[in-house]
Amino acid sequence: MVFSSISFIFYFLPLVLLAYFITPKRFRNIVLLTGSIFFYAFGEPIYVLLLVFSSVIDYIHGLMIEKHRGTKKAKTALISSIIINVSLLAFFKYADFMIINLNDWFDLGLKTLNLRLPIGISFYTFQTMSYTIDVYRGKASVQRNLLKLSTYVTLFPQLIAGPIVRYKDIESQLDDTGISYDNFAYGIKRFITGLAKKVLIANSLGQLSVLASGTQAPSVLFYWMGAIAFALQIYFDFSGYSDMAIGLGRMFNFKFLENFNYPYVAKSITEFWRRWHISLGTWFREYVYYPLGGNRTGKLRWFGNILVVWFLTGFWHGANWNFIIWGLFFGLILVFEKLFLKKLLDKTPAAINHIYVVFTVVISFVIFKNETLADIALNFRGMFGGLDIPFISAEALYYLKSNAILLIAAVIGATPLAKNLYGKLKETKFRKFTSAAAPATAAVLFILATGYIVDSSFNPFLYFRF
Amino acid sequence: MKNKVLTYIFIFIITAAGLTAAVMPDMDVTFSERRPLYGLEDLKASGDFSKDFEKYSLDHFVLRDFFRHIKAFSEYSIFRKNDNNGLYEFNDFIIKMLYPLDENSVEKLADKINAIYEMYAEDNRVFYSIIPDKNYFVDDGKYLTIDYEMMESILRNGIDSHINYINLFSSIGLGDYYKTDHHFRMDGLAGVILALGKGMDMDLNINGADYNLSSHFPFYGAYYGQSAINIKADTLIYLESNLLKNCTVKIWESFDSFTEFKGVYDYEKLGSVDSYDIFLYGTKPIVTIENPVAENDSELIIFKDSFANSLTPLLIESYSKITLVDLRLVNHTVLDHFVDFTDADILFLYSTMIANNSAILK
Repeated sequence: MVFSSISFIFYFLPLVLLAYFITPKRFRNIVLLTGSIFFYAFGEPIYVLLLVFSSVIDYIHGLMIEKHRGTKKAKTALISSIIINVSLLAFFKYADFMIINLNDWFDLGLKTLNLRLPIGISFYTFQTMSYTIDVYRGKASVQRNLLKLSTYVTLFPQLIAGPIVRYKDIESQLDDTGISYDNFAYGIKRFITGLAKKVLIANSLGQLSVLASGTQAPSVLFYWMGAIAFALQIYFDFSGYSDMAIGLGRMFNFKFLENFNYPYVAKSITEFWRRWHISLGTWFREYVYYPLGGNRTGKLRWFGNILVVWFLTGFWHGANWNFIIWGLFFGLILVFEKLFLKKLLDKTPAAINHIYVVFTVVISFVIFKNETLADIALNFRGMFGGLDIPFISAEALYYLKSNAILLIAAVIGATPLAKNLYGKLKETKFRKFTSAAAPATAAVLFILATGYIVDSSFNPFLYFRF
Repeated sequence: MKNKVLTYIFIFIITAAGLTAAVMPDMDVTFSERRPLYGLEDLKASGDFSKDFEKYSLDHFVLRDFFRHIKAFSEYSIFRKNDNNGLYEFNDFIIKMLYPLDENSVEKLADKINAIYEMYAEDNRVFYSIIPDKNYFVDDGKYLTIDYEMMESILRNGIDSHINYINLFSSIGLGDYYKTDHHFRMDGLAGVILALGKGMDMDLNINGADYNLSSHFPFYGAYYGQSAINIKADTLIYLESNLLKNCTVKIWESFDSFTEFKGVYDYEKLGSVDSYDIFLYGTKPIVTIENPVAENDSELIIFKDSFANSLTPLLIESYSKITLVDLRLVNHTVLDHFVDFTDADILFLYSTMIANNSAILK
């Protein structure tokens, strides 16, 4: 079940909300857990067992770490937890990738497993690992209540596509099952904002990107339009989903950390990654980069650490070489920025820095989007004049004109312009107007988004495959 | 307080919408989109319940048409897109963009025509023709159109030279089509009939024939619902005559069984999901029309799509029998069981939409 679906918004959500509201406070986590398991089982009836297994395993490991704190047994329990979680991920997500490559390299003739990827496994395995690691480090208390830990692991707002919520960040919130109308109202607005970003902008950009990829009349302009549309699509898709998750969390009194902070306004790739998929970057920094030594080592080791983290970041996004290349591409750029680019960027005008970031990110998403090296090369050749194609075609021009407002809206929407304007208006005599405008805008966006959902029957999230 | 009100309004709206959709009786078909809706029975037989439940929910969502209009309004008026789901409005006509040209599909159509010619019709007079879609007539450069000359050229180069081409592109105009449907109007076919007559060396002419013009309103064409914009419904036109009332129409169900009807029109279809089905009882694999007062033995076999359904009644006066073959529904390799090709003229009459999507022909 995806958030931008009729089944979720008009059937599942009201049922869970009503049940949550009428249930006494102390039983509300049961409502959340039951709802979350149903939410997951609705799309993945078999793999819900995996989710339960993961919750129970990490619950037991947490208890073992706590029981044997300060001894080798605690470390053994931690390692055991990590091995189990990583093995789950490796088996379900990466086994076929390994088999295919081993067959290619050594001609082994091994059969692929062809397993369906359990939805959200990349997210919830990282969350459960954060729990046991933080308990081991003493940064989080052990959860002795299996119900509460399972509620954390399965919590439907962030279960299938993040943000990756660390246990320590919502540990205390699991006990606060009250209803806050302020939080709920914020949650509604945030959910609708995310829904509109996903349904009105991302899906339309996705159609443009698909048209550009599938054209029979390729042109340099169309290649660029496709690349830019995809870079914007993935931002609106994923940040929209994060907004919905954060909004839904708020309805149930959970405050998830922000996952995006207008990444396209960054002035360097280092800054971009502080603003893009923040929860993943934070996770890798805390649980991989720092344990490897971070930057408190020699330069060579430091850069090696960066490349390891970015290899893993790329690989996390998908079991394919293009994702690994994509991760290493960013790893190398980050190393270059630390070596000399950062100094250069500090001296160049902001506009140049923005162009550098946007150009680099658009290029990176060409790698991200195309699964084969041949397709990546073809797209780059198309974009940079390496193909015998015209600069412009009637088709490209048609879709550029037809999508001009969408693209302009997306570019403006990717900046904090509207947010800043709203903030400034709130400080003027229009304050009353802005407080009325917010719910009215939400209502209009909700009706529009419902119209788009009703008009389409296929509406998958890009991040579902991760 | 404000937030409390907002909270309860939100919960009320999503609950009420879901509840209303759940308790309202399910419709079987959507008239505006002219298609059956995904039903509970389909859902029960579903192999992927969660995916198909969404399909079911979408089809039966409360105020479905209203929300589709909202989306169309947003696409046209807010995002100022040139088309919505490939449909656009031009001079009050709803037009579907036929784009891009699928050269491979056109080549395959040529191959199909050649195969049928070699299999059944080497001794017959054989003709082929293409009916332009409405997109052909929009020449303001704003919308994407296929290269129609290229389509013609592929067919001319690919089709056996013994099969003669009849050009219909200049015999019809946009005004001869329905505004909300892809089909042409029966009262706009004089030019087409003349061109076909000239091409097949037959005396085909409807100007002066004894036809009464009848109509049905409202006719919601295929694009009416798809476009989801506010546009007036069409008036369906059908020409009536004593001859057309007395023709015998046989709809073949198997090699030796058919259902027989008197008259070329199925009036019960007026006001149904697709009123265009009035013509020759809708889309059927093989249909024969017999002229009870034919003055000669000439026969015509038309390989066709739905466009021919409203055209064929205007040809029957000149033939003793016309056989219509819809290769979307019957495989060309079994035709000798149904159709006698001896001495019949053969016409392949397809729209550009079929030419560009010929994979659906069997």
